[in-house]
Amino acid sequence: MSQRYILVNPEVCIGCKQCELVCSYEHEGVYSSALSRIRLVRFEAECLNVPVTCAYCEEPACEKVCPTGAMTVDPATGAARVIEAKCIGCKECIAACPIGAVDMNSRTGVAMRCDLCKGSPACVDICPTGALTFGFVNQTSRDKRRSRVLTLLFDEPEGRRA
Amino acid sequence: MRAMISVTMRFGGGIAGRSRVEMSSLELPEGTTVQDVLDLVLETVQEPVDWTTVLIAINGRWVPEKQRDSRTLEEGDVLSVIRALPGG
Amino acid sequence: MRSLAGDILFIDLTERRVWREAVKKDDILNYLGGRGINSRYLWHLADAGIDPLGPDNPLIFGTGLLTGTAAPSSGRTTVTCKSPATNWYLKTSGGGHFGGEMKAAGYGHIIVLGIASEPVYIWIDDDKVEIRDAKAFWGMDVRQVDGAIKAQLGDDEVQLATIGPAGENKVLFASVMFSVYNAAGRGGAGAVMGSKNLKAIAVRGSGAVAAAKPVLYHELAMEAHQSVLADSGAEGMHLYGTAGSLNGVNEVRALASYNFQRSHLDDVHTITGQYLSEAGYLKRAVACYGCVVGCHRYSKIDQGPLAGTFTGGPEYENFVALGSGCGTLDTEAIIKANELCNILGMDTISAGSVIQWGMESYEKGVINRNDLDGEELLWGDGQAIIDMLSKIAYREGFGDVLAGGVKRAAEKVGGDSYKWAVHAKGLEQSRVDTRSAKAYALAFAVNPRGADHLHTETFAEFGMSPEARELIERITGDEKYVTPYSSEKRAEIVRWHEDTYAVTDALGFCAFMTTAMYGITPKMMADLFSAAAGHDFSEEEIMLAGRRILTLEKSFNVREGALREHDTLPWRLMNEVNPDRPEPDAINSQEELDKMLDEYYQLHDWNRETSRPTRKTLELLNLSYVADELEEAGKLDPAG
Repeated sequence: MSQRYILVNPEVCIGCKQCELVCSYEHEGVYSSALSRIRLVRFEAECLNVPVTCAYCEEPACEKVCPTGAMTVDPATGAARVIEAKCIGCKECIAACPIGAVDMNSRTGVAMRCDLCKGSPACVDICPTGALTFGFVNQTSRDKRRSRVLTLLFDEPEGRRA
Repeated sequence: MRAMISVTMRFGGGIAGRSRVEMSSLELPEGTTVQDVLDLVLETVQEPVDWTTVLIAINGRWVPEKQRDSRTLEEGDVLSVIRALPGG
Repeated sequence: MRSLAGDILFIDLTERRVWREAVKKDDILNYLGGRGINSRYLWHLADAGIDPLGPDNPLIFGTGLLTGTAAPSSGRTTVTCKSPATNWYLKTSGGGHFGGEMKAAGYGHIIVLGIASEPVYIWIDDDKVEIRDAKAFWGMDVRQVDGAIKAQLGDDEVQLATIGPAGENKVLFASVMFSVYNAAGRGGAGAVMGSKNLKAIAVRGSGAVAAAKPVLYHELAMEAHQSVLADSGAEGMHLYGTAGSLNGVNEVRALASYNFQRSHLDDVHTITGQYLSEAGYLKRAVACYGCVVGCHRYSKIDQGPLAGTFTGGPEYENFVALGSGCGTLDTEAIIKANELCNILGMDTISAGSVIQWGMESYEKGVINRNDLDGEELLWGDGQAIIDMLSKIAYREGFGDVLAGGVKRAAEKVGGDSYKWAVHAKGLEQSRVDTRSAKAYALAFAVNPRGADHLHTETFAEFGMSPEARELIERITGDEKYVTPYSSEKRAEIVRWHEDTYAVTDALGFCAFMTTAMYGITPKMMADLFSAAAGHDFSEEEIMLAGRRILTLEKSFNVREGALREHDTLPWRLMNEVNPDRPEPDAINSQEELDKMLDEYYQLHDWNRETSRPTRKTLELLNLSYVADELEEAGKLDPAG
């Protein structure tokens, strides 16, 4: 609660996948959805796209199950960090994560998880519609309250967004 | 006292919150320029307008920016002032 | 790591053989990728005179050289073959996410040869490629088969290119659909796919691509992002889609209505992108792979008799071809019609065009209720449009006549109906009234695939944005040429656009970024190419590659027998003055067209009488092999 994390508003996601492309570039130097720490869940017949990435759980299941202590956070920044030398690729973290935000890095054979890009997430920077923002959780709730109240007060059709 | 002319204006398509293109009849003094009408429009909507993205045409023909001050309207002209967007 | 260009995957459905080849470095330098390399293979694989629905027509899929990278809006895929509708060259491109997945699987191109003995689909899973039985899927619509194949493969995130019943029934304007709603629509590529008994291509890719100079490339790509979003039109495209431009086109008297009998209507509000959003039909803006604008639509009807309809679109052409063109402004009927075209797998422009031709034919008594199985076909009847679309897809009743396209339908029906068959080269014209848009007129006449804008997109001549006006001034040297009504300097305008468009298609960019908005310039494309390929190209060099590509495409047509007389426009537009703009220049007269063609051929240094490229021009473009073959076939002329 005291740190910023990536907030997702799927209603305005247009499904461009730029988040996946820049994430893989930042971390691996190449363009590859499979090497991205943020992944789009797509429902093509409904043109629905929902970005999913590490939710920065208060009680991270992935860290709890890791047998070697590879899955950890940097105590100074709160950003997730996989210590590659310690990771044995047991995949317990992938099984434990309830939202599917952890995946195996096919290049390195170790787990990968969103590390917030040293404080300035590339996916947030590139997102053209603001479906991804970088902020504190109480900011999200506050924004939602205001937005909904505005809708009610000023009679705009709710949930209608381009 | 100048003679008056009747001009149809087609206005909107996304200017100052007017999404429809609305037709109205204007009675204007002879010699009214395109710019005169745009100034009038600005007064009515009471909001700033980005004229660079507005298509201004008379009888379907585009009026270049630098002609707005000099081009006068004539009886029966149809003046279009609408938000222009790409597409096709 | 995959190569940026990807490999070429060959699939011979007759022999059930699969093999792959690397893209040659020379081909990248000469033809760039995507549509460019597609054309090079079409030239070599499709001899003159082949039957487009027979076993010798190659069906070539090519995604952009830069597809799969973070360059904005670089995810387009081109399908190339000989058109069964026109018997000329065909390229048709689509968005969605198919191309990105192809590249991640390691392929820049997929070339399908031969004909399968029974319905099949192709499953590409990185290096593993299988030809699989599709009998269970034959007959399904595009949405159904998308779900069914994903279920069979156990993966909801594979990408599919499919045909619907229209392609299976070889409707001559059947489309290939990417990611359900994105059509490689024009010219009947879907019919070619259907003639091969190929129901779908499914792809899953897990690889990575990189530029030769990754850091420089990424910087340039990020700059391109800024540039795209800074164009004055980007926000409007995102909010309203291409149908946001409808008002503007209507004001300059170019909005094709009632089968091109009208070009201006008083109130078109209900068929604009603005209205789609206001009235609550638009649920989401949708993007193709890598695109930061998101101009595609997802619409749904929540109430009323058509409640439950949901589809990608409608866009400008859909609203006009299925709407004002047919005399209706009924948003819901149009959304439904768009849904049907998408799931039956048919091009909306041609489908709308044949129906409005039918409406006019009925009005004029050239066809009657007997021809229409007891029904009427009246202007503005939304239900009739909806019913007829299914009849066309399944070739039932009069739908079978319309399924051949407007040129064949008019030949069959006879009388004066050819006068309102609005096509050229056998391709139904895009819904822009070229009597009020002269660069489009020239562009439509010379487009190798037929009368449409997706070879040039000379939207700039309408002057609707500061960027457009600036571009026309730069090309022609004077702001006074920013008018769609003038035939002056149109040749120069078309040349710049066709070069730019060819480069756009070859690299995988969306033409809206380079020719409807201008956030991506030829210079930027040259720089991105240079960093990607590790070979420096100036703006001139990359535009030359564009020139080479389209000259090769023109040569394909020449080899098929194309002459100057084929570069023409529909009868109505050449013979009837635009009634909503009663001025002497409101017609595409032969005289005016001839003047523009003369100028255009001269700029190209093609023979003015025959329109054929000369040996000198071909050799300057590294196309000696083309000159040799044309000469052998007796189809090469001296300059002049």
